[in-house]
Amino acid sequence: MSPRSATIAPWGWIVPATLILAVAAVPVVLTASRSKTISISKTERPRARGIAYERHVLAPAQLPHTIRSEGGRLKAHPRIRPRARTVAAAYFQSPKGHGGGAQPDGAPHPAAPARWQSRPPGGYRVPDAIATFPGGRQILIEIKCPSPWLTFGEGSPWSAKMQAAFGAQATAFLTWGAAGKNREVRYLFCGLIPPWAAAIIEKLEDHLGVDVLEGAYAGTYPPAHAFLSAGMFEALTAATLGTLAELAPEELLGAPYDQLED
Amino acid sequence: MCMTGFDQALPGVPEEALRTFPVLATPEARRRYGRAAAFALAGLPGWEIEVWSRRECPPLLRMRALQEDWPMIGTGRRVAIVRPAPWPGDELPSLVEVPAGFQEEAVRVLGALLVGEVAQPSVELAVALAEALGRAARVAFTEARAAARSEGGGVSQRAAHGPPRAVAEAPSNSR
Repeated sequence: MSPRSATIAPWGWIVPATLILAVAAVPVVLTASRSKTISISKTERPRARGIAYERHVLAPAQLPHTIRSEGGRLKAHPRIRPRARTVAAAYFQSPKGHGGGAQPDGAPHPAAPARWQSRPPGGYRVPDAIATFPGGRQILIEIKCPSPWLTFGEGSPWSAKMQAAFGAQATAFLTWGAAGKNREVRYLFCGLIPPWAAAIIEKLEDHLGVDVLEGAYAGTYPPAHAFLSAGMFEALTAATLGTLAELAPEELLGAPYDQLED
Repeated sequence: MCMTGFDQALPGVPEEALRTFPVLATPEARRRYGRAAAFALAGLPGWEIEVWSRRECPPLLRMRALQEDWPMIGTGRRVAIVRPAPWPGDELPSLVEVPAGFQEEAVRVLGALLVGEVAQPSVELAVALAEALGRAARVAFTEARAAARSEGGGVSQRAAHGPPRAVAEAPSNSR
């Protein structure tokens, strides 16, 4: 060991080692951060959007005004205790998005419950609103704003969680609706109903009708317009991409300026 | 976007039209409203209903329905799309729902709207318009809901001036 090297050892290695560790840690931190971002965007943002849409529909000038003008009254977020009941769960995948529809998920995530229960033992459910009209007619109203453009394949953990929550809740509401002849259940979607949600409602509605309204109260809810714009952009791109790809570059981009004739 | 409210559905008409005379920003919005209002004041259904199996309903049709303000009401299995009825021609139908004394004004206002021009009705006529559109919207909703819940496959269509009928395939664009 030379006298020069002896002068920087052993504490002299601390700084380079720290730097190496810091550089190595960057990808780990970035990955963790990205995972957190994905997790937030797939759960928190849709939740916030759903709450915002619910507030919009339940604003005094919207649904409550209509119910009042029809002679009824609206109770927001009532507690209901439907009959305790479980049904076999059914999960769907939607790998091609809205246009591709929903197909049964042959291997749902292991954590996905095999059965959906209308309510936990001793528990209750809270729908968004119940409208009651003279004569006893009652309509349970559930307000939803999921993106119809979600794509997810077989066994996706968050889609299983999302569908389990939706399916168990729908089981509760349809059970409530089945308990009286003058009861109805109505889902108000801010835009198009996602194919997986339609498939779940279809599965559950065998014994009872449920109304599905798409674009309900969406005219005065700008985020619903954004959903539509995104879908139209996607559809138009898919519809025209083949044609564009077949075009010669000069047809696609226009003829060079010096070749144009007046 | 669609006027699909509670028990109310009418194509091409904004939700505020049930409460007041709406802000109609574009010539096309004025034409659509003018047609719907003329049908309503004439006591005629200004809509057609086509019913699809959800699985078979083309995604582009459903996106177009949202874009063109056509209400979509259905169940998990089926969806009823409420489209505007074809406009019969240049002549206004007989406006039987207009209060006495307002016929002339109604013809003038609707005439302007139908060619996309700006019009401002009196308070009395605006109330009559909102009430007539409200009645029409409730009937359209009830018919669409019943059509979606009815049994049978394929596509069915309610003609503008006749009973529901079954057709073999999707009707062509009525607009």
